[in-house]
Amino acid sequence: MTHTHHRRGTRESLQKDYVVLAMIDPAVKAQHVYGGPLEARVKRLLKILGKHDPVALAARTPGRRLRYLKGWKPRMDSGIHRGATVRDIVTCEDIEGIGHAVYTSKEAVEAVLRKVKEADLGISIVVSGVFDEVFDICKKVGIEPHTVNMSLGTWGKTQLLPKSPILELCTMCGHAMISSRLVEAVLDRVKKGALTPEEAAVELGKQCTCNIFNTIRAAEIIRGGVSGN
Amino acid sequence: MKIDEEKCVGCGSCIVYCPISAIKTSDKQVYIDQDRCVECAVCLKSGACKQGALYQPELEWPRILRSQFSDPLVPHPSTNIMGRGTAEMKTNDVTGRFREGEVGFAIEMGRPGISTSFADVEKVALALAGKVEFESLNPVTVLLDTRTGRLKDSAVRKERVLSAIIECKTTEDKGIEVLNLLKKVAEEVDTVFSLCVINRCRNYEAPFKKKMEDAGFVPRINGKTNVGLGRPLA
Repeated sequence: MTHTHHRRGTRESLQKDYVVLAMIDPAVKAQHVYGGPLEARVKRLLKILGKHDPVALAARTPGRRLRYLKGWKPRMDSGIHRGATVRDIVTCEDIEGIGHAVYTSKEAVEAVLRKVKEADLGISIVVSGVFDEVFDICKKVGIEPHTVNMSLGTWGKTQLLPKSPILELCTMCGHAMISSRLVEAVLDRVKKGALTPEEAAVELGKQCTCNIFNTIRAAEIIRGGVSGN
Repeated sequence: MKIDEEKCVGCGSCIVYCPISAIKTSDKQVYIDQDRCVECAVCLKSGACKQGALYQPELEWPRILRSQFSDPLVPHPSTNIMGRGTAEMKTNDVTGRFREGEVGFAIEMGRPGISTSFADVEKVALALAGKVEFESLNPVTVLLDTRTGRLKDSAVRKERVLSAIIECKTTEDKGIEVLNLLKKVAEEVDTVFSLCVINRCRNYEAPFKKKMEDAGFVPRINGKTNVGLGRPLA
């Protein structure tokens, strides 16, 4: 599960894209008992994540994932994809497992990490984003990065990959649930005026069932792609 | 995934949702190329088919691997983790899976969005065997004879998945040798792979980064940072 990794784009674009992910390793029981019942700690964490204007927020309940994505309106629900509100998620009683959120600003991530540090939840937290920005946040919050996962990009038959901006949009779902043909189709509909860039971003983001898609950044990329910039 | 021909009206609405273009048309009939389909169920989940013609048949070994490795909502039976089935460095502050002086590699075959056969997964595993320690809590590792890198069941070789992560580690002094091996085998595979390099931090630095850069392997500006808030700390 390296699904928040290998996101592509310019530095300027990636500086508006941070994923904060919380995880409990099923193989390590000790972490489950640290600081009280896990469910209560996950709920506290979700409240913190939800408070700082996330673009996306997700949590798991028995049999369902609760997914908030900025710009997702109830009329956009389709198939198994159902949007939730931030309130739905932070007030849900039967949360199980872990959560994650996407932010567009460094300040929001700093505020989140400060609160999570104070809460001392014992849950592993991973931040995906531009390294020097994330390290700078860590310094400000007074925490030391423990481990990094660096990307050496894509190797092998790279001629098979779609071109920019399709690749930037597809790689915001690390499990590759967003097909390059769907991206082409929504870009075409935006060009024809049948969708706004924001609606197109939600149509793409819905396919990312883990809900780590950044609809604000995607709308910017779509706007640039359609205007040829 | 299959299409109920009785229900399908041939509208083709499902086609654009398939990440690997396995849904095709022939003489106004829409069909799924079963060799290419990785059983990710993106088409079904999208709700694109208003006729309810798409359906997921029960999968048996070894085809069931396609679903386990391609659909992030299906947990891997070997690790009980969804997605691609591994926690890698995300919980390293608690597990200590990667220790100081070690370097980890996650070679995600087929990513981004191209897909891979297990024959190609095996090619890379064969190249790495004997040079690295394969991660035991990983769904690819359980399919391998880790001594040789060969698949335990040759019937798995023909299966295709959206992606599969070979996860392993070695010491920092042997890390560049592993990267050179991967560079060579990258020319032999019929797909792509995305390459992660995992390293413990010391004083806000990843020591292996400098070694990589000196050897001509320059990491991208963005990646993942475990910020060390897990407890108890390993």
